[in-house]
Amino acid sequence: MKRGRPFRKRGRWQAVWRRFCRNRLAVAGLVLLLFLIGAAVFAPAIADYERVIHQDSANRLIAPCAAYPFGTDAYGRDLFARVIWGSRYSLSLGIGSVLAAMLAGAVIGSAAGFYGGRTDSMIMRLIDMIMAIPGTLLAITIAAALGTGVGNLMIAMSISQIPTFARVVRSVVWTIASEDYVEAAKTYGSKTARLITRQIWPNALGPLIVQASLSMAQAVLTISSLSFIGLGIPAPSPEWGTILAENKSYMRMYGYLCTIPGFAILLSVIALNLIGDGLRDALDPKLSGPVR
Amino acid sequence: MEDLLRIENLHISYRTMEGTVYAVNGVNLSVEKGETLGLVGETGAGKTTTALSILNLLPKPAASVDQGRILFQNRDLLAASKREIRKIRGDRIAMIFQDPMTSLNTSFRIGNQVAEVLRIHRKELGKREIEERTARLLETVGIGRERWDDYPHQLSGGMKQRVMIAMALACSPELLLADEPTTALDVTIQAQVLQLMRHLKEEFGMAMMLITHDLGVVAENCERVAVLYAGEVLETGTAEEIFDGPVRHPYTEGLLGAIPSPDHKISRLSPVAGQTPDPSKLLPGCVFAPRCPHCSKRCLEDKPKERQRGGHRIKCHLFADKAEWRE
Repeated sequence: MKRGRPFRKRGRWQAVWRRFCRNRLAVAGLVLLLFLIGAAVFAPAIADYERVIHQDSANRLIAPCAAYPFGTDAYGRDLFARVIWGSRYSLSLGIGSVLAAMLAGAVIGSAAGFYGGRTDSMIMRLIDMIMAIPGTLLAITIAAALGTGVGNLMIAMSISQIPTFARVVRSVVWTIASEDYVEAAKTYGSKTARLITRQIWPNALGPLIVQASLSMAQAVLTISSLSFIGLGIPAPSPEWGTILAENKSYMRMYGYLCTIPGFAILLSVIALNLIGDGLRDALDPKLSGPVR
Repeated sequence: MEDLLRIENLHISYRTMEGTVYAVNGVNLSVEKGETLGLVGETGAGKTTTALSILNLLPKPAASVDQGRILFQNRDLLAASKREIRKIRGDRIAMIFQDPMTSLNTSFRIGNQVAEVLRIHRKELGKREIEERTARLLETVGIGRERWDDYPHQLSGGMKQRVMIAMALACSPELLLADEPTTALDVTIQAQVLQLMRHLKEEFGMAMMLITHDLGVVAENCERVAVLYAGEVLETGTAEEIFDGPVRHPYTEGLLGAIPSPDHKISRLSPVAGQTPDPSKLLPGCVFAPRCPHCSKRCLEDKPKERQRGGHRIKCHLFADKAEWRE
């Protein structure tokens, strides 16, 4: 059905986007992240995978130059190709594991926050127990138990992040569940599941998105850390942490071998953090100061 | 006429940290098809608790229905399963809340909120049909269909209450529970909204339970009135009997005395002295006795029985000896 629009109205998300755009650093973070995602998506077009694994003993440890923008490592592999392809691991695992943890955390946290009482106590004490273990350590433990590999790393990362999301969601859902409009939705016959997904989640999305973008930054770091100590992506694959680990013994003489992949990690973490901060301000107008 | 809703001997209590609070103590009410019953009472008299109990929406586990039945079309709602009661909510019995500012979900377009009710109860309808009906509902309550895409913050308080009314009317319910629907609105808007409700009630032929503490609103809108005090119905009768009749309950008398009237020149209003009794203690006698100007020893010791003359029912010892008032 066509609905007339007498004048242009901004939806909630348009307003958020407008506020987000006003924050230059956040926009810079977004551009940076899009750039990195672009690199990951178009990696095959930028550098052939052959260059990632091709070993060339004649061209070992070449400093950055025109043919090899990031130089070559001890096996003569092209570091530029490796870093570009490495973004695929870091970003997909970082984003993927956070999304999985977010979904699981949202379900667990909603149940705790909505029902309250005994359900809440039981779920949250379990979450507290998991939270007592440092996140990275938990990921290490799970990764060690499951073995290395992309799939297992993903599982380890997700599980270690569920508690954070469950907590955030629980507290938000707890607050929203006592709102009048939730009560009103009950009076017109909404089922509990519909109540949570349609009335509560849209309003809980803000804090959840902020937490997700900040968690992604943390996840990228953890993935690289795990790979660095040999529990993440195994050696020949060009994961950034793995590249760092391979090259650490050459660090003193050939600094670029570690600084360049390190810089890649740094950039993605900064990008995600800037976006997270920007989103937090954009989603909570009370924090962002006067409207200009 | 047949009763659409009949509440029999309803007792509801809340268990709190400080002890049990007796919110509703033996309420008897009935709403006939198509009529408007005004439920009047002070804050804490049990008006909202009664309304919520009809839809089985009392806050669990704090509140419990200790006794009584709520019959809706001869079906006990208190005994209905969750599934059954969910089918009734919004479809057969709808409710409007006091504060339209907070009763609409801020992140939904208003059209979607109205449509949500139809999506829940009229699953057989297609998307188009639901949108069309929603647009018509918005028009019915005096909001143009072009406001479909508005968010609640783009509407005024009165318009938000109109949206709430549209949501309540979406499935043409037989009974509308209006819990102080105009308390949060200013007076001119109040009149508009009430007029709309009166008009729509006639058009849709539904019955209404209008909960309010505003006797003026009751006088204008209700055919029958029940006066609730400390969880008990002290008086029930037609609006004429309550407002213009020769006899009333002393409490009703007190309430009417506290309203300014343009007809009588009085320098001071006479409020009902004292306060409502502590709901955590049940009084052995009449609940109104401590504040009643006609209070006797009997009132403090003995709970008065409800007496009636025609449809007019009063719970007071003053009427005990009068022959025309039968138990």
